[in-house]
Parts: sequence; C-alpha cells; structure tokens
Amino acid sequence: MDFINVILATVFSVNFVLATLIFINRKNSGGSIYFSLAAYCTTIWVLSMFFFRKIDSLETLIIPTKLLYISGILISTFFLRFSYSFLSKNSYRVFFIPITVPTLLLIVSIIFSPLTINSVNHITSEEKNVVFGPIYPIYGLLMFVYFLWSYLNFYKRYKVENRENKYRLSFIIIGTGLSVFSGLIFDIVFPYFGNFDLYWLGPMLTIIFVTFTAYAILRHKLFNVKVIAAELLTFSLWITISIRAFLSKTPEDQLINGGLLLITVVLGIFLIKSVIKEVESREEIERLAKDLSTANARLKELDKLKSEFVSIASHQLRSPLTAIKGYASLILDGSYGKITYGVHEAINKIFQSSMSLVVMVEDFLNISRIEQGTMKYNMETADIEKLIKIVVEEQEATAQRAGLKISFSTDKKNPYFVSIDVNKIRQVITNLIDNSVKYTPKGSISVRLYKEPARNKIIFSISDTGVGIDKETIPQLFSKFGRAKDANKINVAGAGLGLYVVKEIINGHKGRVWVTSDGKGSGSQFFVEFDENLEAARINRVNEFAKNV
Amino acid sequence: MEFTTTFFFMVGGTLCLITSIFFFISYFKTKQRASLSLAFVSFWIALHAYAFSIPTIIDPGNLDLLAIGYIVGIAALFLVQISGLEVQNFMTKHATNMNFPTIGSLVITLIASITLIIMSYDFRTPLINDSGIIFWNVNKIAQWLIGLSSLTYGLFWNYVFYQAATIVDDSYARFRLMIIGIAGTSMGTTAFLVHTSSSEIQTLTGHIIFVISGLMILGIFIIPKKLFSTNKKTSV
Repeated sequence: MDFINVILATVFSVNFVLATLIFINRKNSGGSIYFSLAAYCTTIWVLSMFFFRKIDSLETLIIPTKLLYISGILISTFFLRFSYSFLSKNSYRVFFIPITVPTLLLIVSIIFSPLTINSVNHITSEEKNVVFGPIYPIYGLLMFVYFLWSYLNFYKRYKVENRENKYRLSFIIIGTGLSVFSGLIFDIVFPYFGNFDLYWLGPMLTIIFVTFTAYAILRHKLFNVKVIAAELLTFSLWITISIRAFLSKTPEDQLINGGLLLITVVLGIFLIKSVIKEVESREEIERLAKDLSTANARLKELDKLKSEFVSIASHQLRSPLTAIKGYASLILDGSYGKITYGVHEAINKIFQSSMSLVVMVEDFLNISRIEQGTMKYNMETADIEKLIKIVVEEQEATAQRAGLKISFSTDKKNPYFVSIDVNKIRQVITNLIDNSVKYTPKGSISVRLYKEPARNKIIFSISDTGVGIDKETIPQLFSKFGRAKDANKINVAGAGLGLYVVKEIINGHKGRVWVTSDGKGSGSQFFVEFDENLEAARINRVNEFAKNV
Repeated sequence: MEFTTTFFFMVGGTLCLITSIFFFISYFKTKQRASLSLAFVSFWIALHAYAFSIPTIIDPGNLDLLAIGYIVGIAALFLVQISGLEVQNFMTKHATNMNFPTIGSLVITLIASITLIIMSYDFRTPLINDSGIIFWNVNKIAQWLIGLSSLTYGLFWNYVFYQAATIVDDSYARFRLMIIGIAGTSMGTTAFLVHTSSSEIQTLTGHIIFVISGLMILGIFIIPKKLFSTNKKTSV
C-alpha cells in the first residue's frame, strides 16, 4: 500500500469538503468566492499529484502532470485576487489584465505546447520526473511574484486592522504561507533542478492550510461555523444512510433505509435553512449594531460640535444683550432725560425682551457646558430664602404684566442654609417661575419654602393655577427639548430647554426636582429639594443664641 | 447654731434665680427655645438650692422636714438635668433630631426614679455638725447615683458648650458659651462633692464652687459686650 497516496487521498477529501463548505457559505461581498476557488484548485492540485503517483502509463501521465501545473498557477492567481478583497474594491481592476493575461497564456502554453511542460519520464519503475520547457522559469517566477504580491496586500491590510481581524489575517497568512512556501520549494524549485524525491510533499502540506483555516473558522469565526457544522452533520447523515440503503439486502431494509434517507434529506434541508436563517439574522443584527454604533458616534460628534458652536455663539450674544438691557434700563430710569409715555412703553418692551433673551442665552450656555462636561459649580453656603426672595421680586413685574399674582412664603423664621452655586440656583428659580408665568393664563403663582426636619431637607415649591400637565407628559418634561403636546399653542417661544437645564443643575447639586399636576386645567407644582447644610445651620444657630441670650 | 450650708445654698440659689429671670427675659425677646430651657435649668437649680436651705430657716430642729426638703431638692436636680438636654441638643448639628433628648430624658428619669424610691424607702434624717454643715446621710447607692450622674452630666455639658464655642466667630459669643459650659461642669462637681461627702472640707468646697458657678452664669449678663470689641484703641 502506498501510504503517501493514502495521505494524499485524505488531504484531497478534507480539502474538497473545506472548499465546498467555503463555497456554499461564501458571502456576497468579500473575496470568499476567490478563496474557495483557490481551495478547489488546491484540491485539484492534490488530486493531480495522487494520479501522478498512481498512473504508470507515460501517455496518460501527462494529463495529471499538466493539471498539476495548471492548478498551481490558478491557485496563485485566485489567491492574489482573494488578497485584493481585503483592500479597496476597485484596486484589483487596475491589475486585472496584468494578472489574468499571463495566467491564461501560461495555461494555454501548458495545454497546447511543450514550452512549460515538455514531457514525463520514468527514472526507475516507480520514480518519475518531469521534463520542463524553456518558459518554465517564467512560470515559477510568476507564481512567486503572485504569492509575494498577495502577502504584500495582506500586510497592507494587517497594519490597519483591529486586534480581532489581525488574528484572523494572521491565520490566513501563516496557514497559506507555509503551504505556499513548501509548494514553491518542493514542486517548483526542487524539480527544476531535477529533484523529485519530495515532489509529493507540497500537495500534502496543504493540510497545514486546511488546519489553519479550520482553526480560524472555529476560533475566530472566519466563516459561519454553525452553518458548516450543520451541513457537515447533515451530509454525514445523508451519506451514511445512502450507503446503508445501497447495501441493504432485503426489500424491507431498502424500504426502511430509503424512507429514512428521504426524511433525513427533508429534515436536513430544513435544518440547514434554519441555521442559515439564524446566522443571517445574527449577521444582520451585527451589521445594524455596527451601523448604529457608527451613527451614534457621528451623532455624538455632531452634538459636540453643536454645543461648541452654541457656546461660542451664546458668548458672542451675551455682550450686546447686556448693553441693550443696561441702556434700556438707564433710559427707563430717566438717566437720559424725560421720555414720553409711548417711548417708555417701547423701551420697556425692549428691556423685557432683552431680559427673556438673557435667560435663553444663559440656558443655551448652560446646555453647552453640560454637554461638554465643563459645567463648574462654585459651591458656597447660602440662605436660599434670601435668594428666592430676590428672584421673586425680580419676576414680580413680569408676572404682573401677565396679569398674575406672585407670592412667597416660608413656614419658619429659621434660615434655610444649603450648599449651592448661587448663580446657578438663581437660574433654576428664574427658569421655574418663568415657566409658570408662561403657562398660567390667569390666576396666581405661589412660591413656598419649607423644611422637612426628619430628612434634613429643604424644599421650595412653585405652584401655579396654569394649564396643568397630563400624566403622559410629566416623565418627559425635564428632557432636552421636552415640551407638553399643546405647549406651542400657549407659548410659541419656548424651546423646551429651561426645565432640562433646571434638572441638570439640580442633579449637579445632588438635589431633586419633580413636578406634580392633577391634569390639564388643574395647575402644576414644581418642587426642588436640597440637603440642608446642617453645619452652617448649627453655626448660625449657636452664634445667634450666644449673641442674643 | 451656724447655718453654713443654708447660707451657701441660699446665695447660690438666689444667683441662679436671678439668672433664670435673665434667661426668661431673653426668651421673650428672642423666642429661642434654648433660652427657655436654660431659664428652666437655672430655675430648677434655684429650687434645688432652696429646697436644701429653706427648711433649715423654717425649723432648724425638724430633721424630718430637712430630709423631705432634700428629697424635693434631688427631684429638682434631676429636673435640671432633663431640662438641660434640649439646650445641649440645640448646640449640636442634628438639632432637629429629637432622639438625643428623648433617650436622655428616659435614662435620667430611670436614675431619678431609682434614687427617689431608695431615698423614700430608706428614709434617713440628716446630720448637722457644729460648723453648720449638713451631711445628708442618705443611702450609699442613692448618694453615688446622684453624685456620679451629676458629675457625668456636668462634664458632658461642658464638652457640648466647648464644641459650640469653637465654631462661633464672635469672641463675645465664644466667651458666653465657654462660661455656661464651665458653670455647668462646676455645678456637676458641686453635686458630686456635696452629695457623696462625709468630710467637712469636701462639703465646704462644694458649697463654694456652687456660689462661684452662680456668679459665673450671672456674669454672662453683667459683663459688657464692649470688653470683647476687636477695635481696640491704642494710646499715643
């Protein structure tokens, strides 16, 4: 028994199965079709070597010999094409003619002329050698160039790939590299110098390529391993049952095995289809997730750019607004002399509008700071009662113009010490009162400050008799651009940013903000909760006691 | 017959009574509950002192009356401790949390109940020496309960007021808090010395400290604020 031929037959079978599986599971995009074609050519190469060793007749031997070299050049050509699938799609087109034409010319020369392969001789009864033609060195050189070119392409890709893909590529490069190297040495170089002792080794070592590719499939999901496994199982079942059916001696056995084969075929097809479907779904999900991730990254980038733009624009807007507000205030105060009633009204509107714009610009600035992560809080101990009183007084004129009454009350005479960034909390109170004024067509707004001693919390609430909020809207009210459904009908100018800024600032203070409403037309109550600064309260309390006792 | 103990308790009690009036006035002005508590603390101390001394003035030979006065005085002493809890709580960070006064009151009430029950069941008349110093001659357990609880309370009082004094920014306020703290400890020490005493000198020391304590507390209302002014003038 020729053990080398047994091994070659085994390698052929394995190569064939692998090439078939890769071909069946090839993806529409990418170069897996070329990889499978290269794998088929490798199969033919191994099979040719098997017949080269098996056949004794010199007339017949020329056929596997020529096939050996035709498949060899085809392996290198398809492999080169496969390597281009890792680069940009169009780059191969440039080289299509320089690659394909020499390959075709060499194949033609091998088939129809003795220029590459001249003849086959017997050295001994068992040993054979090939007599090469004059252009054989060109054949060898071309193969060498094609493989070298392929590996250069792989290397280009390898440099820019991520870690996972680098692993995959390294398996292809090492696996094919070892096979290619041995093939070039034992089947191109050595035979040219008359050494045919290891002629069979090149085809046999394609098992390295098979092993590496199989490992890449299993370990790094080079191809769809689930599908391959399902197909292997199904094919094995089919073959086994078919053999059993053919070998059955009695009609009963034939009938049973035939029926079994039929069921297995049908179920196997369903199994493979379902596995393929599942794999396709997974791939689709992976693709969508990747797309989503890319889109998300892009959105974040755009959001960042927008925030930067808003920040710059808002800073630019703030200076002229301050001037408008300041001069309007001076004119209203009479610093530029007496003005008529009509002018006073007009200037007053300018002043009020500039005030609204200042709030809006401040909101934009805060949002850009929040989103850029540059929001800084200058925490200090403050009596929030005083701050609320000031803001309520400031907002009184605005409320009165809207025909609303605004009131402020506290439940105790104690100071309400909290650790806050005074300017930011002023913005919070302003936003909340401003919000109530906007959505209260008539009635009143009452601001209340109180303590919850059991929890050491200080809470201020802003209640209005306004349009109210339905339950569905409440959860999204503090989100960015979150507005009630009919908000536009009541207040066109609102951007849905004020409450978002409020929430972010309060979160920055480790506080809590929430809203309650009994529904449309029932008004609403906004609550803001802070931790009481107990130490500040104690110092104040003890100081007051010791001074006044 | 001399009335040494009676004299010291009468003086100390009167000082405390005057102090309590000042605290009551302060409370009506400022409406600070701590001032009201301190007013009651001073008032109960005065009552405590008068309960020890007035029976001697009424009938010096009636030892049963003196013993009953003593029991009443001890009850007033425990009321001092209970009233003072709210003041101490006021000085702490978690003034709104009433766990401390509640638990403290329960503990003091328990000690007071045990002490008063012992004293009632083991009713003893006091002994008066030639110098007019009264030895109260009570059950050992009761006297040590009174002495130790008073001393512990006084030390804790001082700790709380000292802590409070460190956080105020005004030197006058700091001085007042320090004085109240020290006076509290002194009162506690007095109680310890007097009620556990079997020697004349120990009892006499206790009496003197008691009067000094009364003067110290009164001092916070008498010493003018301008002494603590930071704008000191220098002579050329």
